[in-house]
Amino acid sequence: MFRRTRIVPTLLVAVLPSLIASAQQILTPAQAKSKKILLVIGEPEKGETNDDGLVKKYFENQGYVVTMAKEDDPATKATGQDLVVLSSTADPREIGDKYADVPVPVFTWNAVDYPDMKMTGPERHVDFETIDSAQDYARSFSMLYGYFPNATDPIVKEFGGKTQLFGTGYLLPQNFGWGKPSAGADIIVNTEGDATHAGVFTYEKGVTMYGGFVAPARRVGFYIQDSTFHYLTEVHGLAEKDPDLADWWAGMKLFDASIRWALSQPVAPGPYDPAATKAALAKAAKGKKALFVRRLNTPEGEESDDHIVEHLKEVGFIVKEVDQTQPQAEADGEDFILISATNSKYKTTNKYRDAKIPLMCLEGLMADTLKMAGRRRYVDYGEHGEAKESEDPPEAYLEIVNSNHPMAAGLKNGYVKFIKEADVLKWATPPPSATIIATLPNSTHERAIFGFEKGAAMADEFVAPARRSMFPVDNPAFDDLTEAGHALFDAAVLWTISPPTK
Amino acid sequence: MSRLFRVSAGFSLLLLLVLALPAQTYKAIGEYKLKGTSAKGLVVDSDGRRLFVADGDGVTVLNADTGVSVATIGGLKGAQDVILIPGMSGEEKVPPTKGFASDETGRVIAFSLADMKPTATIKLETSGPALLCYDIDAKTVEAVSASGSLTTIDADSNKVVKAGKIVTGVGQVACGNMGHVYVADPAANVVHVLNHETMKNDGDYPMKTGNKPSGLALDTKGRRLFVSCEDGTIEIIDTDSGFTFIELKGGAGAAHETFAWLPQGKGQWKAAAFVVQEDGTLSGIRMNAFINYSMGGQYKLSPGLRSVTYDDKTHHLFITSMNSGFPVVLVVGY
Repeated sequence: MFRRTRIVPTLLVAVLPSLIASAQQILTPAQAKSKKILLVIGEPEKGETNDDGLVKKYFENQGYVVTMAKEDDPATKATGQDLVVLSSTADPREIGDKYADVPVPVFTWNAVDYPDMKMTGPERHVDFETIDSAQDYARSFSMLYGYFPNATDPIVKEFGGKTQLFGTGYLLPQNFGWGKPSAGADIIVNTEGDATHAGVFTYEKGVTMYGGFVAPARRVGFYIQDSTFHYLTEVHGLAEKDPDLADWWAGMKLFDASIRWALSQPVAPGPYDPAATKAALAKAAKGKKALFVRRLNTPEGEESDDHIVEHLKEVGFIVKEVDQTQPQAEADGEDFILISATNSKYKTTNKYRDAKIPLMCLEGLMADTLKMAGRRRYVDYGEHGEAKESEDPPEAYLEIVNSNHPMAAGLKNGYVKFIKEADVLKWATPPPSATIIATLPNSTHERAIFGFEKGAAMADEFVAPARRSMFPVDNPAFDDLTEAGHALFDAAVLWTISPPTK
Repeated sequence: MSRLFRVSAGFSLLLLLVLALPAQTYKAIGEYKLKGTSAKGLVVDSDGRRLFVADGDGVTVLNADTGVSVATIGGLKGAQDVILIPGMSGEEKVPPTKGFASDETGRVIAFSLADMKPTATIKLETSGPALLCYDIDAKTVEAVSASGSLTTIDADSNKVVKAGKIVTGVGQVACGNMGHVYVADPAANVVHVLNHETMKNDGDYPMKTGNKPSGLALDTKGRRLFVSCEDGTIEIIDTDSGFTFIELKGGAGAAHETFAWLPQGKGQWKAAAFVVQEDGTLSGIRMNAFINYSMGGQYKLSPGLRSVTYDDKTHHLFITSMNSGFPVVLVVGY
């Protein structure tokens, strides 16, 4: 009895972040009322107008309490506020980085200030860009069309958006800005048909932003500019009753949901406790059937695969082992698929891609067949440390970028020793709908641990039939995993087999 | 000089010339005095040069060029609105031969332009002031009672096709777009979108920032609805989405509107919505493109402006107004 009371809280602590991350509650409009917003604006040029007044009026109509600030006001004005909003009318050189480390959520459409806010890299046209409807007339039509890469994102879910194109702005060429956020960000909208051009993107509190900067509170980048807020689409009348039309004109719903997300309680990271993580996995795995796909009688990695099986059994899975060449029908009736790195991608073919049960893959080179990344070898996926195949040296560390996520096992952002000795580590660059947990050091686009929520658009617009995750355990690395590496493995399996967010 | 440069220079010169054209300045160029105590809706028969004004207990018919009264059509009590039904010969419009008028008791009359006599009386679902619009596609007259009813009348037979009680408003009405009747409702701060085929409300258009919408004009080709609010906001709504994509600043007070193509003839404005408001402001909303409108000009006339109609023969506007307590029709030109 005494023991149980000690164990249960520990388990709860471990499972709680997972539950919180799954829920990602966004304040309702009623709950958000009376929240305090600091709106930082600049002086309009003589003879020019902007939408700052409209934005203020909109916020006030929602019940927010708005305080205005000028671009040269000190950042201390943010003290006591629930949200800082940076308009693009504020001179980015004046505001600089003064709001970068405020522990208050920041919502900004000042794209030129993204680098100072540590939301993107510093290079205009490379890391971020502002499109001018006069100078970049043809490109400025792109603001009419946004793309939601991940309908399972809490902001998109908030208003029932789908993984598809939608009409952001009204039917006129418009100024807009985009950014290329770091791996820890979630891309809510991309634009110009380029998955890396994020029109709307978010950073959860505590994730790694550009240059290793840790987000002190939530951050949102949004692609409107000085005078385009009033073009954010709405739908009324008969069109509102047509689901296709209602889904299309979603610009204002997106803005509203993004503001409320920024105002909502951030997800708190769980503590690093490998034993608790393993215990939580055991609780979730008990009685579940796991299909372990491996190369039977492999010349290398057999012992490591055996140890993976032993571990799965130890935490309660009922494990069935099949060879890479056996048919996908072997997965019928199973609850979880784990694909070993001993498999040959060439022999495993496209199997399990469309399996309707959770799947975790340990072989980064299979990212394309499993629709987790594009098909360009050593561009969309690759490896470090493989002789003759990689120009990168062997590696032992990963860089955690999203400590809030349950797959991070409570590890803090930054380098973590993953395997005991530097060896081969695989990576892939998944589409923006993936949630990135860890990258390879000094190669932020080379993502080592990541996951797709059920329903997210994977590569080639393939919709994830169930949760999917990638985890870099090359053969025979399972035996070389550090304590943190094992904790990450357990946390990744736990997240993958947990129920998807509704 | 390269050909490209010559073409560019020529185009630039042409653009400068167009931009240098003086803006049209509208002003009152005449005034027709009316008998009685009020003047509300009006419409002009451009071909027949007659002006029909809903006033008092009927419709006063004036010579559109001189203002001389030429006839009175009775049968109403507190006349509110009057419209003419364009005749059609195949696809071509021909001069109208009939019209409809409404009053404040929930009554609509049909009348003949040949003898200016009522030819039918239609009782609406509810009493109270009613306004009219003509749906050229359906060939129906839509009578909207401010007391809360919609009546669809076959414009040829004068028979009621459908009628029913429905939430309306006291503002202007417009129709001719996919079976919809738009009704400005200042009290609810919306434009109701009524469907005269189903007799149901298809949804409301809320105002983006404006307050108390009362004036309406519809461009049936561009499917744009121009909504003038009493607080001075003019919202231009894309009726396909119900989205206000442009807001302009107008005058103040209750508003009335009309829409016209080439309101100053070829080479000038492509189209315009003209708004008159109680404070005496005439606003000309200029169409630059189907997605681009600007305030072409604002002109201060006398306070008490009521209703406006456009004469496509002279490009004049006729506006009912109360001048020092007496009803008049202002003739406005440029």
